[in-house]
Amino acid sequence: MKKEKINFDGLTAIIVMVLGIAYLFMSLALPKASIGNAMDPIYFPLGLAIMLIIIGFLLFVKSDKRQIPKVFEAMQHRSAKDKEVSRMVAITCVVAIVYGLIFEHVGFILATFFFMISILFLTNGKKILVNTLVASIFSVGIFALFNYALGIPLPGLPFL
Amino acid sequence: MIEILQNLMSGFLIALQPYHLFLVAFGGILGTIVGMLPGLGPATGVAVLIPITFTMGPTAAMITMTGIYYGAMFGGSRSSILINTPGDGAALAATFDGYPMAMKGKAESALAISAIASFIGGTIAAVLLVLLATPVSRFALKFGPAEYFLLMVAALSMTASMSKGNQLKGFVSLIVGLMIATIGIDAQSGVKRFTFDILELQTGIDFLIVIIGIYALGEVFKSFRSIADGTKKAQNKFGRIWISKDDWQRSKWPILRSAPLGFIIGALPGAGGTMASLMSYNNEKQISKHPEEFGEGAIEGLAAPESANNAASVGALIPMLTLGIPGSGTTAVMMGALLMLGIQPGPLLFTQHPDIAWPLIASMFIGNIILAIVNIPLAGILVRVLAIPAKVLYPIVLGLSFVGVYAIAGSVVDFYLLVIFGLAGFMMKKVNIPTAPMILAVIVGNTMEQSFRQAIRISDGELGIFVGSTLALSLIGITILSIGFPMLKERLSLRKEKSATEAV
Repeated sequence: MKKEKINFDGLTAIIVMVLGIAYLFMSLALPKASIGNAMDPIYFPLGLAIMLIIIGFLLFVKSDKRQIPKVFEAMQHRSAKDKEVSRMVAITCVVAIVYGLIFEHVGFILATFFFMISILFLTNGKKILVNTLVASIFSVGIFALFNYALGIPLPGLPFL
Repeated sequence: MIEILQNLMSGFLIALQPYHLFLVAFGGILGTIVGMLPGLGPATGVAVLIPITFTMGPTAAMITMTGIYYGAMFGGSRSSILINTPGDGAALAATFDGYPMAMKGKAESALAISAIASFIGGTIAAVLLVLLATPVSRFALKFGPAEYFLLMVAALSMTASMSKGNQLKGFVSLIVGLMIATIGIDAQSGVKRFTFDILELQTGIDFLIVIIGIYALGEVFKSFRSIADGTKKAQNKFGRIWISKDDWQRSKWPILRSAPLGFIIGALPGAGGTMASLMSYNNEKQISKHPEEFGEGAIEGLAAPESANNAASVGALIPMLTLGIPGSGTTAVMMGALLMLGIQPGPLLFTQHPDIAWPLIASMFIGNIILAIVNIPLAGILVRVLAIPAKVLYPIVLGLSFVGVYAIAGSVVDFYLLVIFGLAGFMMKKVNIPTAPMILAVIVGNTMEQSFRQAIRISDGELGIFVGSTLALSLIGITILSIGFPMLKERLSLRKEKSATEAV
């Protein structure tokens, strides 16, 4: 089961160049300054864009282009563990976005409880008692710590 | 000299107040816990725990963070020794001989010597820091905007160049970081740049969000792998954690030699703890009379990198505190926290805020002592607490990241940015793009652009100002050298490889 090491450089280089070009156009489209030299706020971003494009190009020249299709191939045949990690990362991101969406409506404690219990089920498995306990202590504890001990107000419960 | 001692004494008076002592110990223990988690190192520790310092006031906050920093350094080597998983790159060398020692039933001596070596290395480096801080910051006061800009260019390009493996990717990371820094309203002209008409982006992306995203979220994402791998069981029953006389005889010189070496490497931007510990390990192996024992559980092979590693972490504070330019991920995080508190590190820190600078330095001495105390007799207990719940602790680190980000600006838009940067950090690690240059660039990006424009304005648009002084020219020289040297080295090693294969 020896896995060939995949080199992402070629693909990375292309992404870097695209990013550089996009940033270049956005820099050129920046509004001119109304005070001082009109081009003043644009020079620095412009320089960055050009440097990024050059570096992306150098990276592309140095990389092994035959590896680029291999990257896509390898993506299809990932190991079960790699898939598991990607799945966990994806779920965490979704949970985090939902966390953000409900945060201002249900308040810190409930939203954080939801976030923590979801992630705990993801990492810790179906240990309902432990997970519930940790999630409750964390959300209430952190709320108390920030609100009372540190003096950083967090939105508490919606009905209080 | 007397002035330095006086300053240091008054620093000690502040740092020794019971409240501050408590904070160092508290930060140290929290840092140790985060540092012990596989995959999470000092940068993550400080990033996640920054929010608790928000309302503390600068002196107390810095003292707490020093505790966290040191704690995480001590903690990182615990997991290297016991489960062969370094907390971060700098603790890598501790696995070479630390883990074999634990396997041979000498975990107690391994834990003890790593704490002792860390303590001695850290203390020697703190003495060097005391001696160097004032002269360096006095020298830095001579810098004009042009020199300051070039200094940042030099420091950043050194960091990018030294990124292990691929210099070009280091520069990609660096420039993307500078690009992130350009987002928001330009302070000099009022022009909105790259805000995509999102109100929250007008003030720019807070560097703390980038830091927490990359170091907390990104690292935890990466560590999900260790959950998928299943957890390794750590030894959790110990005898007396201490070393024998013979152990001490073997390790005392390696420890003393590695401390100054680590300090110097740490003070160079970009080099940092990983390089310091690996270099001192190789050094000791070369001069040792029993090089064959290295890797099999030689105590000096653990003592030397541990000393160098902690010395480097102190050395890394020199450019951050005296020049305002962080040289490593962790010091970038600490600088981010300082800026958050309204303190601008740099040459003026020592003249304008001696009340922060000196207690901070004094608390390094105290932090070292407290952590050695915490880590030797209590190591058994701390490790036992942590042997079980990595699966529970990762979610807590994630939870703390989100709370921390909310505490910065009170906006949930930052949650989404956090997710974006977390994913970016995770992807960057996948394709081997180093993250540290990006973090440094995000932090100094604005200052860098401002000094560039100031210099141009002083010279009335003449670019000649950037080559107008010896200082400027030597900084340009350093930059060119830092880019050229690794390239040359790569060429040479390629040629060597080629001739080696041809010979076969």
